[in-house]
Amino acid sequence: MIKNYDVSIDFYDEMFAEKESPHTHYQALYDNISLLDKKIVESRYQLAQQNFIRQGITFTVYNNSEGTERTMPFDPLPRIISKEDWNVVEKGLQQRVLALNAFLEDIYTEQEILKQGVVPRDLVVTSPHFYHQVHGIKVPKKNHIFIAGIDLIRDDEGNYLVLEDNIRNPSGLSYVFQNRFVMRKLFPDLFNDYSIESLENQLHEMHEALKYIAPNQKKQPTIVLLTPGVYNSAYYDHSFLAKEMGIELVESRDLIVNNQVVYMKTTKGLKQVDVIYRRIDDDFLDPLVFREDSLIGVAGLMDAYRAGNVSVANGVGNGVADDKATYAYVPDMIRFYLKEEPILQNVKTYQLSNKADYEYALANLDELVFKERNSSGGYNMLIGPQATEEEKVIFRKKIIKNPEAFIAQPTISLSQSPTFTDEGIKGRHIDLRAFVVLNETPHVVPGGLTRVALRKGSLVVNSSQGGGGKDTWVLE
Amino acid sequence: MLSRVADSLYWLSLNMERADNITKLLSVRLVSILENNNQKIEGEDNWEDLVKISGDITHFYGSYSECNRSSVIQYIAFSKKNASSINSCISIARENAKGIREIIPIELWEVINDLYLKIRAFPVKDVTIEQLNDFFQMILEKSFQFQGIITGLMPRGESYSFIMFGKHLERLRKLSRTLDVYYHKKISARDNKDSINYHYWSAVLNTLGGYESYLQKYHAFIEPIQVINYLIFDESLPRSANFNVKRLLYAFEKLERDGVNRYTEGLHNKLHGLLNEVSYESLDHSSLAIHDYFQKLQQLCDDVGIAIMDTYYLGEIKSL
Repeated sequence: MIKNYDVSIDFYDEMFAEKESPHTHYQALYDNISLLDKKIVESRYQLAQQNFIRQGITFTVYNNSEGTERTMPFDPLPRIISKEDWNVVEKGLQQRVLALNAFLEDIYTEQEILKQGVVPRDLVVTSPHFYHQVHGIKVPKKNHIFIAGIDLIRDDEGNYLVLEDNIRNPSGLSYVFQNRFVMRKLFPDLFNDYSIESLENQLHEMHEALKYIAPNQKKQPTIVLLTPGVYNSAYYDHSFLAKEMGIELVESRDLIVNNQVVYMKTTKGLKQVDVIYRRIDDDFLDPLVFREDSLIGVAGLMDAYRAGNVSVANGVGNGVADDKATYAYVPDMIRFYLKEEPILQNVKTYQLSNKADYEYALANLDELVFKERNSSGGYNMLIGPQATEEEKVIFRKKIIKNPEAFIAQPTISLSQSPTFTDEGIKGRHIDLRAFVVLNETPHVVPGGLTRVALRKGSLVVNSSQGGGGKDTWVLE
Repeated sequence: MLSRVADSLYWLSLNMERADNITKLLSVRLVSILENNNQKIEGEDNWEDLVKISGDITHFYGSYSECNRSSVIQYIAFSKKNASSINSCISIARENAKGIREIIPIELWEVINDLYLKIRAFPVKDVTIEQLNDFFQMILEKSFQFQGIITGLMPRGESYSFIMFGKHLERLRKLSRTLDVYYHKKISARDNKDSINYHYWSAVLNTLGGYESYLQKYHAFIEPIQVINYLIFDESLPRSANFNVKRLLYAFEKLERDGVNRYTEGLHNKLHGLLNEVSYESLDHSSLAIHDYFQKLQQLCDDVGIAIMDTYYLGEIKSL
């Protein structure tokens, strides 16, 4: 079934070194797939999708007034990462998250990195996610980051590069578990001859990390996950994580703040809450401090946070460190705070606030990818080589009007991975969202969520834009 | 436990029970049409009863000009405008379940979600009686599965109590409503012929899940008052009013293991008031006429429902 697979010459192929010749760690998978019957694979693939629908493992897409529940398409061909590769990636991720966390602590206290001119002051102060309200808050254990989602891609030589840091509210962890679960259930034969890192204990690690930041080292803290509610597109993620960590899933209407203490409303009256893993963006978190029109926030929460009576994860104001312009300075942060050389490289980034970069980027609009600094989810971007003339004209105008809001990168080269398509097994572009949980030290979830752009030639892997998921194996 | 979670468990369970009762009502009626061609009993005007039991007849006539098999099935099984239709109940149950997926067993969520998807996929128009029968049968089986998962997998903690509150209260309400409507109809519209009586009351027993056990206990002698007494006062029948009130009390006592306090006293008293009313030997011992008795039962059930909401801060979650 996988015979005659076309190996791309332009992109790194995850499975094949050259035609019919898989990389060593993919050899067993190659043999296992060869033994599978195409019909069986198709019927099991259908079962997998039904399984997701029956279990309601869906995200909601809002393109009309009524949201549609969609499943994330699932591709049964796993992505495999060798032990050697993973060791490097894991260290690189730990290093990166430590530096980002140190940056946040610094930015909201002494601002040494700005004083020494390593990161331009303008960049930070103009960021819409830089909140003066956070200044001076004693963040428990100085852990601004509880969980980070770092997006990795591989260049044409197979080097791992960081494409994006997500340290506000990274989602998608539940899919890592569901993909594994479905694979084990429906494609057990693909696991033959493999010994892979288990995901079993990961949620306990997360729970411990939340416990670690409880105010005053409280022994049995009450930990909750604050969700905007069932209509949120990532609600399944929230529900899954709360259930698996054994913590309460709350909505804003379940919480109330009295005298700088947060309580939840229970059948037996009020109960104090110690740690809030919130999945609500900063802007909506507390209508008294941020957006007044927020219906999903908790009035008085920031006050309680400031008083040290409740911990909030991820920290407030983290967005200042993960916007697409700050991104370019992360390698410098690593050198500045950790006195180390970055293990994982960035993708070359042009800051359009910088005159030379601006001129270069506009002159090479056809070849570059443009992104708005504060957008995510694959929205508001222009892929030069694939865009129509009209799109380019519109985007050019936007850039000229407000260059500071944009960055540009060379057309990113995402690696390809064999994927089931209507035309048989074909190479499709993938990335990897790796999850890092910060406890006393950073802990990396083995593997992560491999996202695949199912459309031929597409480089956009986001689930809101038709991307799918793959199980990701890290070899033991 | 969060009040919102308790609220969702209560409504989830109540709506699943409601859907189950309506399905039973409809499926028994569809079968009895096939068995009995006596127009006096199954005349088209009798479809009104089903609406009276399961919803609001005025609301019904707001949407339909005629009350016949097709319009009634449409209204009480499928209509989205009717908040108590099977369709609406399952949707409400699912919405509630969705918000507390982390609390209930995965299997329970899957049954509800599956049922919801099946109902949505069912063609409402141009269906044969046979398809309807199969459809109702499917719902009843899912409902048993739902109950089985609760019994088999849910810890007997707070969650379980709120599920029991919803289920048993709804069962009680539907029981008294059904008996009230059917008994009333006996007086106005039926000949007192034995064969018809037999057929009529066996359908009532079937609808309320007491047919087989009644036959065993009373050796196939069906007498209206005896049927009512059985369905209200029998202590061993899991569908009887007496049994259901005791389950409510059991759920309450589980929640209040440390004893009744000033917060829970009101609910405690209401439950005992209800228990008294279903603890007679027979209806002869009640001072009320039959219709009034059923009205009182409804009222007591409503009072208990309100007391549950107040005691545990359900519904509009109040600022405490």
